[in-house]
Amino acid sequence: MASVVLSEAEKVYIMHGVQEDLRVDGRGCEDYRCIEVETDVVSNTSGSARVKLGHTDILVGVKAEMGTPKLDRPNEGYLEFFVDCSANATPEFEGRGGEELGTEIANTLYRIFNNESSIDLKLLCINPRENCWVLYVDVLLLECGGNLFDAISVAVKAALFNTRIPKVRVLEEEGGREIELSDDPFDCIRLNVDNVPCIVTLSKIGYRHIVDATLQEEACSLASLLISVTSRGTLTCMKKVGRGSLDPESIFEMMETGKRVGKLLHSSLQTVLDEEEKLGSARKKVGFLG
Amino acid sequence: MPLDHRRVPGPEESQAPLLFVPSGAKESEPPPAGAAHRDPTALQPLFEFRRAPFSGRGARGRPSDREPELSLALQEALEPAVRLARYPRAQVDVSALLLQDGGSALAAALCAAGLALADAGIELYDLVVACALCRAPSEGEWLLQPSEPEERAAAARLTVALLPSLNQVSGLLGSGEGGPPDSWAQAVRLGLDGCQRLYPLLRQSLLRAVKRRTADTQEPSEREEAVEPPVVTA
Amino acid sequence: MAGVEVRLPAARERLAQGLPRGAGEGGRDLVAPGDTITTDPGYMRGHGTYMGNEKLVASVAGVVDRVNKLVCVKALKTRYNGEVGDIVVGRITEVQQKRWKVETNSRLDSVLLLSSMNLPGGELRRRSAEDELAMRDYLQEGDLISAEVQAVFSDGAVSLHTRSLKYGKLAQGVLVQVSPSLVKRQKTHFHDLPCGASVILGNNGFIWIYPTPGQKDEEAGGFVTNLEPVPLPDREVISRLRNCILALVAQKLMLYDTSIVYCYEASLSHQIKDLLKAEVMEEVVLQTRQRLLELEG
Repeated sequence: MASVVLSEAEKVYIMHGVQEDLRVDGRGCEDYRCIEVETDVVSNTSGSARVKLGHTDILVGVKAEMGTPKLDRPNEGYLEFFVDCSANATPEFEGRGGEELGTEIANTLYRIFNNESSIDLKLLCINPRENCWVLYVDVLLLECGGNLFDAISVAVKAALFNTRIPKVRVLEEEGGREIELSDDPFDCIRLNVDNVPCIVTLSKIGYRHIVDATLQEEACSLASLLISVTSRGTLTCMKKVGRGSLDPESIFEMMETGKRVGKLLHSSLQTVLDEEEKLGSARKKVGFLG
Repeated sequence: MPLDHRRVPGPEESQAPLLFVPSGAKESEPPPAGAAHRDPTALQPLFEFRRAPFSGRGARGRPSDREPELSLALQEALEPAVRLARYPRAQVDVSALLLQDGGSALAAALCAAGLALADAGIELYDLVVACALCRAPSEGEWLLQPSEPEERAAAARLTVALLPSLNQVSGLLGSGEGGPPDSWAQAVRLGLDGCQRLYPLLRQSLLRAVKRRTADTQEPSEREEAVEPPVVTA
Repeated sequence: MAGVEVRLPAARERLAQGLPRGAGEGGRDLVAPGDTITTDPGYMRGHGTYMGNEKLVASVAGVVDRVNKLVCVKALKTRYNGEVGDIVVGRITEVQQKRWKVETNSRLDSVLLLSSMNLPGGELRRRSAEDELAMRDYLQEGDLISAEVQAVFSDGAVSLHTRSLKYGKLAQGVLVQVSPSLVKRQKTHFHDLPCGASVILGNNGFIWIYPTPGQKDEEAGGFVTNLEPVPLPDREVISRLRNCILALVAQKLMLYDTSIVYCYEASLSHQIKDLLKAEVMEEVVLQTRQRLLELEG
């Protein structure tokens, strides 16, 4: 992963700062950097979102394509995640350099969506056993400034919120079924993203934990706990990342913090998404020229 | 262009061979407790988790199916236990092969790999003990070391790895239907408790192996094969 | 106490053209690559220009800088071009035989020779084989140093020296990386600011903010780093300064002691973490710019 090298004294400075609840950029231990969210930034997708969190810059595009349901779930569509670590983010990602990180993130995304409540997959079914919608969620990492997982999960949620899948009807005819696309381009299915979880990564630095670590802070942290929280405060996934170990007691504290911060994250995100929706076509698109 | 006589030719890359000494305030506490930094030349472990093609129920897996996620979990859970700084510029390969999935596969692989590392004479801070848990769909009770059918039916699964004598959690991986943090916390507690109960068992078997080994002194091999033992139930 | 703010991105407004430019920026020519700067053959070709058809043509986008007969074009975004006597802050990337490689945001790695630094103890002695073996005890990969440019090689690589008590290894503090062209050249680049912290404005765009050392009788070269916790008030000042510098950089204002102090004072009405927001940054920098203009008269 993109990482920075720090001197021992710099690490000590960051560590003591966390202890005193004043981080290098003036934030407290439980403060996020300001998150900028914009949806519908790529017109060729069914739904897209771009999220900037400090220097971290994520673009997510969702494309709905027709496919066949999986054998063990004939009445459901499914999601596919692909993460592309662009060499723009760091030269290390050039060639196959970003592949490992990409698979790790994609696996984590599969994991947090691997339950029935996150998203109603039955809605994606067109024709049991034969046709369903497959949502390809493509995550593009444009810049790494720390806390990738949280930013990606927020971007995925925003993109799914923005996703519009055309409505189709199945016509029974002799000699087979036929699928007819609705004539009205605005006649489409929206996904309910109320239960889509967001990831909150809590990095352990010294004896305390922080949310939304910058690259420098990540370099000081040996172990972090990654948990995915839904808007109602339920946990759908937890995972220790990093090469260090954690104290059992601190895990419980981190879970509580994660739940609290996660709920706040969801409510703020939802407010902004609704606000953007309300603006409708009056909204001035910023895109990449901002 | 004139030559630069002031610039001395040297190797293009260099890395610190010395172990980073944590800051003064931290020196008193045990090294793996979070402060010890690893220098880049220290042992680069290679962890691998594979499934045998016939390991699971249902369709046969592809023979070369490497599980990147479980391999990573294996690495992250075992690394804190290994005294990596003692092995500069060395590499150790740990490969776990799942022969038959009878449930709690990752936990079993973690225990086996931890034992194999110890058996190979690799310096460790502590043994690694792991437990799997799952939550049954309806009543929401957490079950320790579930069997394969239980695991398949479960609403949520969790694997906990513990360094028992240091009381540090080295691995944690779980997901499933959402539950309140309290329920997950309870699962972690239950898992840790299970690990503590499993610990004497693993320790005994290791000591037995050492005893047997001292009878016929034998060089430990560099590369070890961690093959899954029968699932141990606590 | 947790703070999460999500918002829509705001389109950055173009600064009104009529707005008075910052200190010393008025009336400069902006050129793009390929633009003819002058056809007068009397001028000398400097950095960022080339001769074509008896004309002096710009090769980078930036401001034209004339010193007597020498014409240069300075790009806004650039790597550091070393000049002898510059003060730089750099990070050690490699330890080699008799030298360290230092990352200074220059196109090539800079070098710090073992012979061009003051070793602990201070006395000028011959560097022995023991010193060579102990090089990593002095400076390790990742360590930050302040140094002066001793020489620039013909390929542009920079050789550094730390043969003064002012230079040497840096201890606790915060590094901010900015574009080298935003650091104003001054007599001194070491400033003890009145707000209670010190900064080193490296000519290479590396800016080091650190607590003002209590007494000046440091060990030669300062190889013993003090790892005692920095008190909270000092930390607040350092964090605020860091955010102020980032705000100035975001609005492309030159960095020097006065602009930093003014920006710091303008920021005092805001919380430190609020300075990370674009609109607060803009407001603070606008006030700073105003004060700087008043100062110029």
